[in-house]
Amino acid sequence: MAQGFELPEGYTFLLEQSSDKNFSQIKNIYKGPDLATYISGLPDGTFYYRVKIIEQHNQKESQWSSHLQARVEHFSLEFALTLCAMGALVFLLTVAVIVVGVRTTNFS
Amino acid sequence: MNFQSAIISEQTGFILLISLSLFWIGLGIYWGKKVTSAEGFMLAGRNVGLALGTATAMATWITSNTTMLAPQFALELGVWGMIAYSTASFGLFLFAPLANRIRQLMPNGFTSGDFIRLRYGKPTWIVFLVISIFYGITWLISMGMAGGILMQALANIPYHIGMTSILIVCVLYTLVGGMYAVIGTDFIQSIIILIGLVVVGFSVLNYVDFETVYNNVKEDKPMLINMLLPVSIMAVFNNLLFGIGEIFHSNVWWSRAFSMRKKIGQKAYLLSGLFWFPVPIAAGFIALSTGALGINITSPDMVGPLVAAHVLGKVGAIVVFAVFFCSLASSIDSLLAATSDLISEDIFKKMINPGASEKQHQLISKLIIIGLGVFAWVVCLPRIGTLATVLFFAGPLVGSTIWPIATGLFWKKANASGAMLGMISGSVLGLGAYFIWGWYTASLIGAAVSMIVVVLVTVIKPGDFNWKELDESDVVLEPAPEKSTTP
Repeated sequence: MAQGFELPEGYTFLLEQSSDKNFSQIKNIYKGPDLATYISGLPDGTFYYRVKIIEQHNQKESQWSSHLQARVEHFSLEFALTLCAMGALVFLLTVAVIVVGVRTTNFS
Repeated sequence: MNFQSAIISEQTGFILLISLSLFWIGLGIYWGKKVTSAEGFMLAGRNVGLALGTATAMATWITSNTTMLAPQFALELGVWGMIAYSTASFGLFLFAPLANRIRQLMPNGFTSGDFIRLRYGKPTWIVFLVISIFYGITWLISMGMAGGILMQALANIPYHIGMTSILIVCVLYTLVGGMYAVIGTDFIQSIIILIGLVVVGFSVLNYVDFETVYNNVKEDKPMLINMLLPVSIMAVFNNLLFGIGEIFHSNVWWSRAFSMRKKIGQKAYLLSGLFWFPVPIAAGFIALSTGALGINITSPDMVGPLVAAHVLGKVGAIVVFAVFFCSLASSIDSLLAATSDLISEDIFKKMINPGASEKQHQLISKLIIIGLGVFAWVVCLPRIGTLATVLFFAGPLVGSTIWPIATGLFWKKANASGAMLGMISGSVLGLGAYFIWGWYTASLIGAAVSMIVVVLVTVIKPGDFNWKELDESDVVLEPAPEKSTTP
């Protein structure tokens, strides 16, 4: 997540995440001056984010921003395992070509 | 756009940049004194020993992608992501026996293109050259851009100055020292890279223990420790085959095989794989520790510098600057030398001017190095961002070369039609997978399709290749007929 503007000195962002639009259950993701934060490793589902600016000097806070929605949908496990098995087969056969090739050529 | 401030001052950055540049150019001039022939320039006299051979393979394989992308893999794909990146070392392991075979079959060979031309003929060779030169140039440009971006992020050195400096330095020392300078500097660069990684790794462990890191990831990024994360499961073999394809086809690795003394290649590639294997795991662990260390990640490829600066302060940032500079330089110099060899040997000498003298050949090699540097500089100039995605775009192309190379070296029956169809169909279908599912399937599909095609065509239309055709020695020594001892 990235903000496209400069933050004046003495101000920080507070970024929150929730699994519902009303932010009834929240999780603090980041508090600080950086203009971006990297989020990964979430399970399937929809996540909502909002941000506000805090003036460090007197702890004055802005309104919450409108929320940003992110949907996480992982590939199916069956598909992943099929491709993984295919990859393992290609790898093992490649190893076999080399091992048998080396043994045969050394022998000959 | 930078979302974070620099971690060392611009002045310190410039001092480091100038010092490292002068150091590498000085070494290039020193090693350049050894160059007395085109073969010396291109292949370091075919006399590289085990220590230098191991170091050059390891340093070349530790690119800025290893230090930047491996942490990104850990943050995006979790524990499997770290393992997936480490599997790239299998390319080095499997190339070890190939290196011996290559030296045995082609004692006077120069490039991977030579092998494809002699083994499969011109049409297949042209397809191969397109893939190989595209890959080499993409890799080179991605390194140039990474240099500019990193120096700006680390020390606020303007992108154009950083990018231009690293390209000029590498072009200069490769130009004057050829393969001698490339391999010699790789040796020193590999030592600096390893020391840097060990220092940062141990410093992280002093700050935070495994249990804290695990608990933090479990709480904040639970899918990263899920062993059944689908995308990671796919990425393991995709990355493994990408790495094998990169190493099997690229002249960077073939030129090293030709440069090393006979029977040294196998040991050198095995050892370099062993030394390389833990590097992405260390880089990945550093990335996973960021949550426990309370470090905000604005861009996943900047994890290394951020963590080093956090745990080691200014010293850490300087160490990281040197490590990144070395990892970039060790790859850029190898790419300049190997791509120049490929173009000068395969295109100039074999297509344009077969009667060229050794002096002309060496001059053309040098002009191509300058040309590649200028071309990379022009493409890098607009700063279109990271080319990691373009590099992954080359994944199915290089994945499709695995079976044509492996069977070409060991199967007499492997033939030109199978190799060419394998590379074309693997590349096309692999690119289809890239656009439909994503990069983490592309190399896998490319390699699998190519394998099926190569095997099928070999079974349907088996060839009968004479291995002696690979030896282009001008003088073939025949054993003298035995004298009869009987009256």
